[in-house]
Amino acid sequence: MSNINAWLPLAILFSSFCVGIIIFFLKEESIALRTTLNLGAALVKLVLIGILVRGLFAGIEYQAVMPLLPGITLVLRADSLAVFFATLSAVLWLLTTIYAVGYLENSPNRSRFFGFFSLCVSATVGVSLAGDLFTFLLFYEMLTLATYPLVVHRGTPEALQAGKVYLYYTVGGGAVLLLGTAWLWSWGGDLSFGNGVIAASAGEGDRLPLQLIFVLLIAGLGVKAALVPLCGWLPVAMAAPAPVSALLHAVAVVKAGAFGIFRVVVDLYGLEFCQLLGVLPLLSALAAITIIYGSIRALNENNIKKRLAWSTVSQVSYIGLGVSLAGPLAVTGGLVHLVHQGLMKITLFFCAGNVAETLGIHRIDEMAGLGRRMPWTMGAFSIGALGMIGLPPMAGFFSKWYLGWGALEAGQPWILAVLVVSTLLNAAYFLPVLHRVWFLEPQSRPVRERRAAQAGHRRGGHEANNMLLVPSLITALLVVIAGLLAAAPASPLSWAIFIVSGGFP
Amino acid sequence: MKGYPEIITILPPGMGLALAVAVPLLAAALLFRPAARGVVRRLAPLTALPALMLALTGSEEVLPLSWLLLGAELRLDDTGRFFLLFTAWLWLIAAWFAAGYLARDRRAHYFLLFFLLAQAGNFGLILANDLISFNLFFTLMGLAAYGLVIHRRNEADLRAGRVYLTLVVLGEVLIFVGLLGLIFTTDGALNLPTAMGEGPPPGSFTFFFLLGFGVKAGMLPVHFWLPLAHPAAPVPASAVLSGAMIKAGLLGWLRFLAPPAPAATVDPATASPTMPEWGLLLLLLGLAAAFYGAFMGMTRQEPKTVLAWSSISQMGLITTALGLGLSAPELFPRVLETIKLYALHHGLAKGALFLAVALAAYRINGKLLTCGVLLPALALAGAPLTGGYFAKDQLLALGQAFFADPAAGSLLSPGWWEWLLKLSGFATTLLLLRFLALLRQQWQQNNRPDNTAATTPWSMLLPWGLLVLSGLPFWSFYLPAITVPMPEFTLPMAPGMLPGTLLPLLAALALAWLLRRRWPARLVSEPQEPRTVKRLAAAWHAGAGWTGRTVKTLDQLLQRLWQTLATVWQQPARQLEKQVALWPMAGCASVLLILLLFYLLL
Repeated sequence: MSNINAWLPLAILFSSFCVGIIIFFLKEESIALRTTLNLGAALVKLVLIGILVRGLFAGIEYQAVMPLLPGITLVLRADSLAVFFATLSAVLWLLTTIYAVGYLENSPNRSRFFGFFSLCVSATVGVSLAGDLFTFLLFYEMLTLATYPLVVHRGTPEALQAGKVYLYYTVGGGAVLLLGTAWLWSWGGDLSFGNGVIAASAGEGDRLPLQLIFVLLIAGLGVKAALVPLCGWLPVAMAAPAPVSALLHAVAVVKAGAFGIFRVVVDLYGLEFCQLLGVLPLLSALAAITIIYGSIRALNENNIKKRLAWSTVSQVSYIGLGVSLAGPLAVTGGLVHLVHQGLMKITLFFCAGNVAETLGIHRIDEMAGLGRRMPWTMGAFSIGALGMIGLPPMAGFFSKWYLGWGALEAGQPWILAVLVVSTLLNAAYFLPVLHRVWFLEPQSRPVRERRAAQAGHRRGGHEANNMLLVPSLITALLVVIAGLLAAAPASPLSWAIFIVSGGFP
Repeated sequence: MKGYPEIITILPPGMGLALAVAVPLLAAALLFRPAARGVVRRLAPLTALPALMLALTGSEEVLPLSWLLLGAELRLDDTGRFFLLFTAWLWLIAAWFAAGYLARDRRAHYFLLFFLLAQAGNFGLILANDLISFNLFFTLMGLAAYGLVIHRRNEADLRAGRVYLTLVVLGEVLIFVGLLGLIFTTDGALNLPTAMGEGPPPGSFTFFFLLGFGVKAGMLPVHFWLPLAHPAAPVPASAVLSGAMIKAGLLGWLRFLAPPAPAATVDPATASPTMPEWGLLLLLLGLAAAFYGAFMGMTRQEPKTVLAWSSISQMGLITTALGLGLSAPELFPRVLETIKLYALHHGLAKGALFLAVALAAYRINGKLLTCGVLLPALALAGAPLTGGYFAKDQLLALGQAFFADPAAGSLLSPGWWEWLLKLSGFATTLLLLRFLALLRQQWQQNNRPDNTAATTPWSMLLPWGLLVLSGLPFWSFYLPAITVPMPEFTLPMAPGMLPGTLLPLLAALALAWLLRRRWPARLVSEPQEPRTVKRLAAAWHAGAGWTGRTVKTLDQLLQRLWQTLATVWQQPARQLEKQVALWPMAGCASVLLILLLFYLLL
């Protein structure tokens, strides 16, 4: 047997958790210490994950098992899928931390913000490393609690309202998920991911309960993954500060839902067993409807962040769609979209934040001529938008490529129609924005300068602050690299193919 | 490689391919440095030089880029070389011309940026040897050309741009589906020759290729963007749009619809499926476009719009040739040669005519202009000894061979085919007469003694002159001499055939003379938006409004549902909220909760 190492998963988890706790007790004005702690923890986590990946290639198994209640254990295990998601969250956390430090410069309550920010990331990493459904549920709930203060951070009535809606939805979803988990536990007992116990021990009479449990689990996870009709909270939650929205949409909350769906379908029930139960068409249909519905709603939004939020609703369902098709190619497409969508959407939200911070612009009809004013930010925005449409060589193209190919492989060509309509709608809500940004004349100068002054920036400052700009540029660059070098060994796509073909032994 | 040991062979293998695409891209990137803009503007024509050199002297080489995309590959094959040759030449001329044309344009660097990007895309798609890089470069070209179409930012141009962009995205999506069908049937072969080794994908996917590339090639039901967008762009861009970029659709068809190599079809039992239905459809659509385009063109009032319609009409003839090839795969090698010849001749002639429109806005010697316009115009009309004549002759022979088959002959006899082509020549001549009349008016307006139009700069005259001269069929002599394999064609110039070939021309001249008062050419500077487009736009708006309203209603219903649900558990929720609202409470509570959990664990 290979080595088993228990401390590394725990260290990865606690690297941000402890920092979060420490930050709560820091004074508001100890900026340098707080920033050092934040960035240090992010870097440490990234290094630890690097060590973990190297260890996995060397054949070491990483698993931490702790008894919690009689019969229930807490399991942290680093399998290939967990590492995939954990890496994404660690990389994006580092970038978002830099962004958040710049974004919240001179604003109140930063200790509270960064404390919960760290807890939020710990929860996300916990979700990714969870080795069974119970552990998953625990961190999933922790994520809900840790994000709420971030959503309401500004304390405006709008933000409080958003927080309320967010809490209603996610706590409700969590309850349903808990119900499903408990039922499944009482039925079978073993909730570990990837051991195929459920499929093996299911008798003929267990069909209906298992189907119902599946529906409960997906409904619970579907709240965070923003499946129709449970997606209403997401566009409201954009009242949060830009870095929070970026994290929420790209890696933390929404992705935790999508990741959970992936875990449940692929690792808990198993693809073959799901097909046997006949529950996947339900998920396909739901995902397809969400994809189209989100795009249509995005078309009608004038607020930048709201349009992006609806776009997330639509794009995250690609992941569910890929899983529900159950073929290796489609699953690859869905899995790689987990990363691709994260990179593209975080870029878009960063840029929206840059524009709002620098010029006080929140609406699309105010964006005319922004390309001349903030060429770098808008360049990054354009890369993200073109990627969302799915044009080569951006990352989004390859997700669609594998999804479409997988749909044909699975014998479900109607999915192609969904992809086509979604692409056209994506183009319909992103290309006019790009046109406005690059080809229309800027708004008359006085209005813009007044806005800029209101936003607290000096006259003539052309681009966003470097703390805001550099993370946006890095993520945009990653979007291009992930697509352009998709065949390279370390690309998200190669990794997804590796996972689907079996992953680490 | 006769006597060309220089530049290209010194480079490492495959470098020529990389340079052809990379140089325009690098030049475009340089434009982001304001200090470099002047240099790039002056040197822009040179960016097409690597591609031109490659087409002329490159050996058949392959450049594998295995980490790029999903394993990209560039390759110079015979068809590609031919397309690259006239494409690179047109881009070079257009860039040179643009230097003079946009000398006073404040936004010239914007134009140049999109021009160079589209150029890189055009070269790239010709050299691409795998599905994904083909798609990538095709997209790059299509999107970059948008910047060219709306360069002037008029209301009408913006509308034209919107139509263009919609159709580009639509074409893109159709091609995407076609490609998916292709890799599905070949189990993921991305390499073009491998993927196409067993012929095009099954019928329904062929349809996507047909329509998707048809958008770019101006095929009939999806042609309507073309007479809007081509004239909207500044003249040098119109020249490459109509001369070079339109051929990208054609090349797409050739790449993705070509029947497999004849060796595979030796055994009739295992012969690959031919596509007679699609071939027939293309044949009919092509013929319809040939006449419809000519008719629409001869009734327009704006010289560039007339030319754009002429492009639809000429591409219709090429489409017809392709249709013949798809219906009868044994004819395909000949079809390929015909299409190459036609594409070359049309690209050069149409480019020269478009550039002439810009020249007529300057003070220019009338005789010089007439001379330079008549040569390409005669070629398009298929006058004897011009490139157009050889191309049409090939097409004629091809059709006769096809319709000689009794099965196909029941459709159309070879004699009818000849008359159809004559009739198309007649229509094209009428269209060109219309164009000449309009151009003459424009020239007269700008060359009245009291007019203060500037004299034509040499930087515009020279490239135009070179393009006109290169359009003369001398190429049939000099190209084979420098390793570019020419399509085979005969010179069937028996004196007895002269009346037959001149007939359409003379008939058109006579008719135009008779109708000269009934068919007045009133010069209008702005193109008119056709009714179809207006209707489509109205339909789009109505559709969008309807979906918007429906979605809103749905949303309201959902909200009401949630509200009802919410009232049920309002009481407990309110209490929860009250506690959560006190953040220190909530923060401490959640941290305590978490700590408790972990305490239990450890």
